[in-house]
Amino acid sequence: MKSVLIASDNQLACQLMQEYFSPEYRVEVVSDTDSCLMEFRKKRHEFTFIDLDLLRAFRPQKGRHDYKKALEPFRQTFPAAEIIVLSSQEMIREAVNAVKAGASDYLTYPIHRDELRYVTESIGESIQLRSELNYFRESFLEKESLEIIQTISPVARGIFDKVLSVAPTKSTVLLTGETGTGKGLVAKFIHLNSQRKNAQFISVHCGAIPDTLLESELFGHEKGAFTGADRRKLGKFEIANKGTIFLDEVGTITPSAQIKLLRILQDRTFQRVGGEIDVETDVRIIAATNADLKKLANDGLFRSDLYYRLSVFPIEIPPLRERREDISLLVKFFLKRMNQSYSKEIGDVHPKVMQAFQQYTWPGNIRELENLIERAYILETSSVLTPESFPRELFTSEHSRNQTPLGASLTLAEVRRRSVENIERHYLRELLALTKGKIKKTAEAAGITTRQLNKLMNKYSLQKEDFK
Amino acid sequence: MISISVRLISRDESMKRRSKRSNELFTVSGILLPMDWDEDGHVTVLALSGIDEKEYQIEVKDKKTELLALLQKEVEVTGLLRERAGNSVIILNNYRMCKRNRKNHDSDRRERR
Repeated sequence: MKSVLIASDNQLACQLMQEYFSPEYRVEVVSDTDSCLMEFRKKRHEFTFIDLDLLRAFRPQKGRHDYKKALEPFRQTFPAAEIIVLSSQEMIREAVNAVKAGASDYLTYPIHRDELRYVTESIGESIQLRSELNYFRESFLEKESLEIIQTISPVARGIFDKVLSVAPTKSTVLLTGETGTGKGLVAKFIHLNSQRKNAQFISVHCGAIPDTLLESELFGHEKGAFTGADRRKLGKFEIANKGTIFLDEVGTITPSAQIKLLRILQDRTFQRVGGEIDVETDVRIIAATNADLKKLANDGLFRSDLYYRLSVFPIEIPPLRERREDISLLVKFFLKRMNQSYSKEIGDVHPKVMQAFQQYTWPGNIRELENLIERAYILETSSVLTPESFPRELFTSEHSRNQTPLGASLTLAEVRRRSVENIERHYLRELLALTKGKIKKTAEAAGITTRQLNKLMNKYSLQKEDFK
Repeated sequence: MISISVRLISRDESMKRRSKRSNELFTVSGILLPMDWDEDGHVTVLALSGIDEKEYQIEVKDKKTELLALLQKEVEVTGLLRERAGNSVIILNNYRMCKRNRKNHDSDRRERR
């Protein structure tokens, strides 16, 4: 239960505040400094009201009063405590000084319900704003164009029709597909085409958050919930209230986070880490994964009930190799965007490059295409992206694999060597795409050292940046 | 009786209000979704999600198998609208696939064949 601490000997004020906060809050009333500090240290209160005279008594001194020092014992216990000073009309100037020294706000005797409501609501709003600001500082929402979902591919058209039909509803959506296929963009598109488009779109990359922090990130925590939790923090689900939350790599979340997520899906409530209060949230959930969630559920690694609830509307985004018709459209889109960002005017791509694009397998999908174009764009000095600005192996390996016969003139040893190289190259490409270019992870998955991996990557002209 | 829960697109609010009070038939459309499952993962309750984010529940005496084949499709349902335990419930009388989806559904079936 939430609680409020009132330290004042003004009976009328205490009575009014008690009536105002009951029964939602437990109200503790004290009238001297010792019991005030003792009660304050017992637990974290939502609001602490302290009479100005009592506050001054913590550091009695003549002349100008140092409220910073007076507030010190409180700040040392709970740095983010919301302390509201109670003062007489004559002492307003002093109350303002206390606020300047770190108190949250002040109220004057006689206390009025409206003022009390105003002050407590303002503090509540500022907590929310602080948390939202924290979030936006952490991840600035890049405004990406939605042209990326334009398509001339019948396969992709069918998918985007599904996307359009589900977007305006409240339905949970599960986006599946290989890495780099644009699941994040589709999620954003769904949000922008929903009733919630004016509210927040919060994106959480579950796989990138350490297990120990995941629950706190998603559901928030109460002050003191764990070491270092020196203030209450709102989780992404609370910040996303009325909006949409995008949970990327949802298959990686911990079992306890799975339980909490299931509860949100079932009855739209959750508890902050270390909290006991049920928090309601009206949030639309879009989840994404490149893992086989069903298999994970069958193997007992992911809750089946959660899997069912997440996959009420599954959408599989096709890999780029299955929508090759869209490559030219995507290339034009990326070029247009880069021309807007840089001071170059590159309007086209050399036919040889387009031909190579059509033959390439695109393990990194659209993200890989974008990275290739961007790199070439930076290197290119003419008005057309020429083959010279692209990695050589884009034209050699794929081409030779698909088009050039090995030839009977070669020795068996040479044929074997070339085949092994081809297999190694493609294996590493796929692995790097899966690990998003993370060297350590790729080496571990391949069962080789990072040094060996680097050597192989140099041999096959593979750049980790192409897979990020 | 199988209880089927449906979230629906409300096309006509006034019609809905009338239906709540009377035995008039109520027609709405939306995307058909599963809403609850048994222990083996079989869908026991269906949902129809609407563009106004409204949720309804539907009771179905039969036609469950037919409706299951339409999961994730846009359908229009007709029935009696009731309020139960805070949920809007439609006692299903009839349903039909929306035109746009019928085309996709037919092509899906052709592909399966």
